Amino acid sequence: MLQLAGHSFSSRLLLGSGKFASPELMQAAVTESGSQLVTLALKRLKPGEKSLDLVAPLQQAGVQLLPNTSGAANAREAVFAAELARELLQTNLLKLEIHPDPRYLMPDPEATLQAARQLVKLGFVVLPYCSPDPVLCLRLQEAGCAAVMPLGSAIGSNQGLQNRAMLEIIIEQAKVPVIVDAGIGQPSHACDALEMGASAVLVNTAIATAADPVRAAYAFKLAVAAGLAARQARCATPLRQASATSPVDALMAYLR
Amino acid sequence: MSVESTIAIFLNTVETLLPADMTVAALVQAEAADQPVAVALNQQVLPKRLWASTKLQRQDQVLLFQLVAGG
Amino acid sequence: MNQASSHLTFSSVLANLAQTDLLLTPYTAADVRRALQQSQPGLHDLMALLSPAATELLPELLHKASQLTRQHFGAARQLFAPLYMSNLCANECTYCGFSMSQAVKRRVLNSAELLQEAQAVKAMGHDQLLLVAGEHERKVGMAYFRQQIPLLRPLFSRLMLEVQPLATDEYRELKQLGIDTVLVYQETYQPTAYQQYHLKGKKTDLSWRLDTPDRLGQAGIDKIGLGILLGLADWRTDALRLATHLRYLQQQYWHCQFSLALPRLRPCSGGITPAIEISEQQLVQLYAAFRIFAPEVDLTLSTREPAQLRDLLLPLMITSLSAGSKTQPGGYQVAPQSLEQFSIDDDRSPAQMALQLQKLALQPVWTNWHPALGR
Repeated sequence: MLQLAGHSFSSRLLLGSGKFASPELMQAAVTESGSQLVTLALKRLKPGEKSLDLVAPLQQAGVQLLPNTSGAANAREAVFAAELARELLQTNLLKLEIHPDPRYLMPDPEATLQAARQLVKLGFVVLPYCSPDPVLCLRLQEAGCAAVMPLGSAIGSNQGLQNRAMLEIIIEQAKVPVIVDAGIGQPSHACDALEMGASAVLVNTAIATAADPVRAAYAFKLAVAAGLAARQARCATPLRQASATSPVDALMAYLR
Repeated sequence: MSVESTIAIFLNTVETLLPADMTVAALVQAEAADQPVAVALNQQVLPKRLWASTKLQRQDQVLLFQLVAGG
Repeated sequence: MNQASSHLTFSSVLANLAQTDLLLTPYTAADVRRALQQSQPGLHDLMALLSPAATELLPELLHKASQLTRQHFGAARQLFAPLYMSNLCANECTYCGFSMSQAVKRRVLNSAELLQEAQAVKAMGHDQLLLVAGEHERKVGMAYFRQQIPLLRPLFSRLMLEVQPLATDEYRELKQLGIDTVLVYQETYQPTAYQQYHLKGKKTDLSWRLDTPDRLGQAGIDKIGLGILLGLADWRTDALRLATHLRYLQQQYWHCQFSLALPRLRPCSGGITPAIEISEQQLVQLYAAFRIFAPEVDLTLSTREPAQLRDLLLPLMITSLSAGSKTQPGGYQVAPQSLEQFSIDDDRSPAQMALQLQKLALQPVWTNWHPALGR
């Protein structure tokens, strides 16, 4: 079970709600994926425009909504967005996301850490999106975050787990769940992340922009389950070739 | 209308004329009907329980937020 | 500071640990090979590597250990010397020459004597000093350390400490005084055995000793030395507990470095014969298993072990070593005839050790970090 500050989730697949062709398609994909945590963003209301209520249908489907601070360019904006989101959803769960660079959407480590500290003090359950930097992840945990969400690769790039070595270290050192977020382009990437020991993955673009998003959601559901089962079965990891050294022979001879 | 019975506020950064003793709750009702929104008044989040008792003042900056698909 | 560490210490974790499945599983060659392939070995893998099945596959363990040592440490081997400040001890430990009831001339070195000893150690080439003392809170406690450490600090690039377990605040103060490494060996993690060997004094308090690394982590000490004394109790059980302790500490205090020592019980005056004999083969298997389990951890082999064995293990697994050691207070200069804590087997001088290391294609390292660079 994925444990996040008192909540338990059996699904290890989180979904982003953006980029779908229609709300109906988004809801169908969510249902097919078995996801229990879906992110939503905040936007200023356009006066006079009636917008669709996404909240009710998802909540009716038993999904926990996870507001994110996407759009915030600094800590102050992120904290502000968090408080608005809490008002709207009456939940303390929050995905903290600060990317001031509009080109690559890379998360700002300084602002994220600063905002995380403030938000934890304000009673939020903070899930910070961050670069796969092991020490940054440790600092975020020290600040009281309920999980860490290191990126696999740039948002929307579908490049998979580009920083495997870093993710392995983060997973090894983490005392909270590690949720790999961003860049997961194929179900095999998601499977890989779970096999590696990540607690969960968050997928958006790969499902939303697939030719058949509902089928893609199904594939991701299976992939995540397979990765988790592989981890639990303790399948062998790739063998590294050992080079022969005569000191070993010398020691064995001595011991005989 | 006399000047005292209307005030100018900024609604989502757009200057808007409103009746003088309008409450936030009434404004939300007028602008967002039955949609779930969050309100920020002068850069501070205004909890829903205070909407009915908060009257808008001249030059107030009101921002209305909703949840959308994303992230 | 990590919010978990203020509540949790290892003694509460150990109290709830049975690990029966890990201890009783009949590990097979397949388990051993799987353990050798893991990129992040767990406790199950460690036990597989310590099993009789692994003894049959020892060369494979040694190859893997050798590869990991080279990857993490290259050819560098750290040299240091112990300096015994005092043999006064308020504990009764049946295996130790300094035990309270032993009729040995007790000595606490004063400042002048310490400086003399320190200069003798320096003259041999050493730059990293391990200050050792018997456990005597009153006569060799914080007041003594506060007085002596500042005298020694300017003489060595690194000062390490192996004395009685102290409180967190005291470790914080010691860190300010310039101690960056503290060694505290649990001897045995098994409560029944522990009680049989530790009869009197503060050392009878197993939990106080056991929680010392937690206090070190909380105090921000850079490096923590753990260890078990082989021969006191079932070695596989103690190895498992030690490994569990290490993993716990690595998780709780991620900024700390660790070293492990696995001394074997050696003859000492009035001392006991080991309850359990550990063969050289088993010792080698233990070191190999720990190298594979924790590739980045410093492994030390003391001068209690024969020179030939040390020379064979240094290229493969051992990354730090003492040389030219004297295990009695005043042993280098002031009073060389006095009684040692335990007898040395490898009595080669530091210069001889350095030469031998070079012959083994290894690099002796005297200085790890220069204080001028700041700490």
